[in-house]
Amino acid sequence: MESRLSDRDAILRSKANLRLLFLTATSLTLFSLIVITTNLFIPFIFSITLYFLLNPIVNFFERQGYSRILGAFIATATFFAPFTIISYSVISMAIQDLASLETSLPQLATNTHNWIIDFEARLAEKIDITYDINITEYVVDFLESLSAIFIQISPNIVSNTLWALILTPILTFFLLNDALSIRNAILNLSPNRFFESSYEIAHLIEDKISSYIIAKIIEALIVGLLALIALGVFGFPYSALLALIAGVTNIVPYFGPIIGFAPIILIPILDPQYAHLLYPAILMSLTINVIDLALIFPILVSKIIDLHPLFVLFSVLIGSHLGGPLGILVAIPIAAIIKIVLMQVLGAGLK
Amino acid sequence: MRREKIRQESIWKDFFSAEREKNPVLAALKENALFQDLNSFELRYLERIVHIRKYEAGEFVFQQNETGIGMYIIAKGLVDIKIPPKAKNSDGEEAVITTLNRGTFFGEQALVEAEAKRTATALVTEPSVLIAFLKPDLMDIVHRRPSLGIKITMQLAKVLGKRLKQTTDRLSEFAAKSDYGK
Repeated sequence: MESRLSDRDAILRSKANLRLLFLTATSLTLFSLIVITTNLFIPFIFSITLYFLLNPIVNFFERQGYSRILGAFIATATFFAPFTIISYSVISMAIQDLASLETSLPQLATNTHNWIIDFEARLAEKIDITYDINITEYVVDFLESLSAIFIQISPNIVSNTLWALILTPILTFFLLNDALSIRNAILNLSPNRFFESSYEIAHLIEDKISSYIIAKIIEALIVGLLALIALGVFGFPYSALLALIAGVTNIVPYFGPIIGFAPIILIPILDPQYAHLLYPAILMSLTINVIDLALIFPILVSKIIDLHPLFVLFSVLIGSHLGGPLGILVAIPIAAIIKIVLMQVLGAGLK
Repeated sequence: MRREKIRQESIWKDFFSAEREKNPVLAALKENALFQDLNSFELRYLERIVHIRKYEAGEFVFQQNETGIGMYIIAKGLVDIKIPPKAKNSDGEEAVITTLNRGTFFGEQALVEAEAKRTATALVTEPSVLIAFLKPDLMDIVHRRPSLGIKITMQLAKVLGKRLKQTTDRLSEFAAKSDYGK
């Protein structure tokens, strides 16, 4: 009797393990497919972000007695209509700035060229070493290879952008309408003995990611707004474009602020017309970054992710190594997910 | 007259069993005390939220002292509710305190309690279908459909109140017997 019971237990356990293996394999395959297919990964990231932003609105419609599908449709449409108009005006402002940049670009190039020659001459004066390295040649070669790479990747950028523009609203709508059913369908694959813990983990992850995305967007908005005000006060050219770059790139941890504020410092260096703005540019970039690091990030983001700064840094480095800029972008949420899973699994083990 | 009444009862019985066979989950939800105030639209909505879990004989739904986050309604099958033997050094088997069948539910304490520990073990004794209704589901309903959330929580409060009253009555009975013994 006892051996029959243990046989049954063993069968039940192996069935549960098989189910767990199937759930893990399915989730990993789906995730890998999304990550590998860049055309899908970018709209997927955008849609998830928008899902967390718009879900409270859909819930509001549902509370008022409207069906979820109608709420999802209204939320998606009302977001994408003004978003298209705002994007159009921001992009047209940015294009105007770009056009103005384009006209001043030959001048900038000449200035850069002269600056390098001047720098080379001064360096030769100060350091009395004969060397046969032509810095100008190196810089020109480097810029040429950079433009070749840009020409090579630009079709991909255009195709990815088009895919993102088409797929994002569709994916957002389906996520808003069916996220619960999708989550439940995936959780139904879990073995019975892990069902409640899987459900709790899924719920905790959803809460954490939602709060993180909202906090990062608020942080980017504040940084963008501060940059716009400061650029306006100092009378910087291309202020809308520069503030947009500073705000958007701020979403990427660590490297984002450097990339975002680099153009603000480079313009006064490269264009003598704005040379007087170099110190205000440095001061402004430092001040906004200090405000971000000392106030906005700790108040808004750190509390939510609840990770040790060293762990955050490591995860960003690993993310950058594995997935480049996209890897950096998703590194912190993935680290937070790993922490939740570990805490739940270890917690259950300790209990 | 009596035969007519029996015939009518059997007609209704057949009607309900036909419906049960068509959609056992919806039927189980409809018959459950927690959801008895819900109209058909609300029941359909709830049906999309709850989780259908299939168990084989010998599988645990949960074990005593595990952290729980929800309750289970039996749509089909039998579940034993067991507790360990009273004496700490006893190596006897767990005692079955009750066997639950179709339509009954258990684990509802976890819907209201934070970090709730299961007070007993639930073991499936024949192939069963259980409907899991978890605390995050209830919170989702409260956020998305507050009127439905209130209906369910009011019924939940009634059920928990009833159980508390039953326990108090048993304790009073026990205390009275103890006093009588003295």
